[in-house]
Order: sequence, then C-alpha cells, then structure tokens
Amino acid sequence: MTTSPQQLDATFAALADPTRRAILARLARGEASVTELAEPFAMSQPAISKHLKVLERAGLISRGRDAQKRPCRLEAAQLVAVADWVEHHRRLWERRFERLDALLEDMKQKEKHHDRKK
Amino acid sequence: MTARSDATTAIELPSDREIVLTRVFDAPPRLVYAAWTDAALVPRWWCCGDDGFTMPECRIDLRVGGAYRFVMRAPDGTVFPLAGEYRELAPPSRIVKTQRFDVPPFDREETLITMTFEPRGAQTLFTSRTVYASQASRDAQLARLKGGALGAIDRLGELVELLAAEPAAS
Repeated sequence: MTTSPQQLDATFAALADPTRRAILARLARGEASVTELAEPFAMSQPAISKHLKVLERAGLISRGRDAQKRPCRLEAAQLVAVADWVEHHRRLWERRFERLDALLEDMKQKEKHHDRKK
Repeated sequence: MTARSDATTAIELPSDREIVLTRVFDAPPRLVYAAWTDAALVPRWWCCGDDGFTMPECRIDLRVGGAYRFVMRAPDGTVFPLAGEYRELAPPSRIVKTQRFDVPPFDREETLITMTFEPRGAQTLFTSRTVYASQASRDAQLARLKGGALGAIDRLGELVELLAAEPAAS
C-alpha cells in the first residue's frame, strides 16, 4: 500500500485535533459505537459524528455496515504511514544531532584548553 | 541506535502546518548557536556521517536579510540544496529564518523556521518550529521525506503514544 502526499496531508490535518486523537486512542483499545465514543467527551453525538467523518476521510478509521450501530474501527495502515513518516524524520535528525553532540564536545574541550593557557 | 539516542530527539505535530523538533544538548546555548551559524562548523555535523553523504557547499551570510545555502550530495550524486534568508538573529537564544528546497518547482514554496536555544543549567534546550506556508509546500516536503513502503505494524503502539501526548504548551 502506498499513501499519496495529499492523503497524508489529510491525515495530518485530522490528527491536529486533540478530540480526534483521543478518539483514536480509544479505538486503539477496540471498536466502539458513536454512543460509546460520545460518553467520555461530554460532546453531543452530532459533534462526535463530525469528527468521525474527518477521521474516515483521512483513512484513519472505518465504519461498520450495521445501519444502527456503525461501529468505528481504527485503520492501522494509515496510522502506520504517519508513524513511519514521523519516525523517518526523527531518525534523520537524531543522526545529525549525534554528530552535533560530538562537535560540541570538541568545542568545549578547545575552550577549556584555551582557558588553561590564559 | 542506542536507547539513549532514541529517547532524545522528539518530534511533535501540533497542527497540520507545523513540525516541532526538540533536543537537549550538553553544551551552553552560545556553542549550539555557533554550530548552527558558523559555515566552518555546520558541515561537521549537518551531514557527512557514515552514510556517504557529503556537503559540497555551505554558505552563511549571518545578518538579518542575509542568505544561507546548505547543499548535501548523496552517494549517487543527487544534490539536496536547502536555502533561505535570516529574518531574526538574537545570539545566542533565537534564530528566525525562511527555508526552501532550492530545486524547481519546490523553490517557490518557503517555510518559516523559528529556532530557540534555552539554557538548562550547563545544557541547552533546542527547539525548532517549522511552519509550512501552504499545503503545496508541505506536500513537497512529505513527498521527499516519507519513507516509501510502510513500516511494520508494531509501530502502532508508538504512534498511539504519540497521539496520547498533548502538544507541548508554547
């Protein structure tokens, strides 16, 4: 499976909201109905439904076919695409910053040496 | 990668247009700031590890309105030029600069980067906040940086942790 930059962009936008992140964290523990999701958030069902639509468009959740309950389920593949991107980016910087650590150590040693000579 | 290094650099996505990077360095802000702004020092850490990348060009005109250009070259010869302008320079605590991937058509889209260097005892808390000016520029960034094939499903736990963590107040 590949994810287009546009799809990933929609996913990041969906993840920018704390309520939607909390919904995803809840769904990571198992599927839930809109009623079950609305309970802990002190939000109306229509408000929760709006968030669910955003998450569904972003490919982060899917909804069951059962017309009454339409249980929500986490879509792991799209989350993994995001995790993959974040992790890739973080590792790149971490490698770079480990080299910076070494340089800073070098700079500190040189300063100490210089101070001693004074 | 050691456990220590895995725990040090943090990335947060506080909104769909921002990326925030934080890292603590075991040196005072004065030295970390110098490492970011001295053209003789940047090539010693920006690239050139054991991955075969080199840095054939590093130019820094360190004044407000001055330009910089960092060019990385991959082992296969592909070059990755990053360029921009300094908007604010407050040594040793703050740098604001623009940045673009200096290859058409990406070079039309600029990001704004605010870097802060805060003292934490003898250490420095470094924060870099990148704000994407438009969706197009972030798409370009995503297309370049996203690592192709999807990773293992066991990263899910890590992501859920990321989701559970609220963005740092700032």
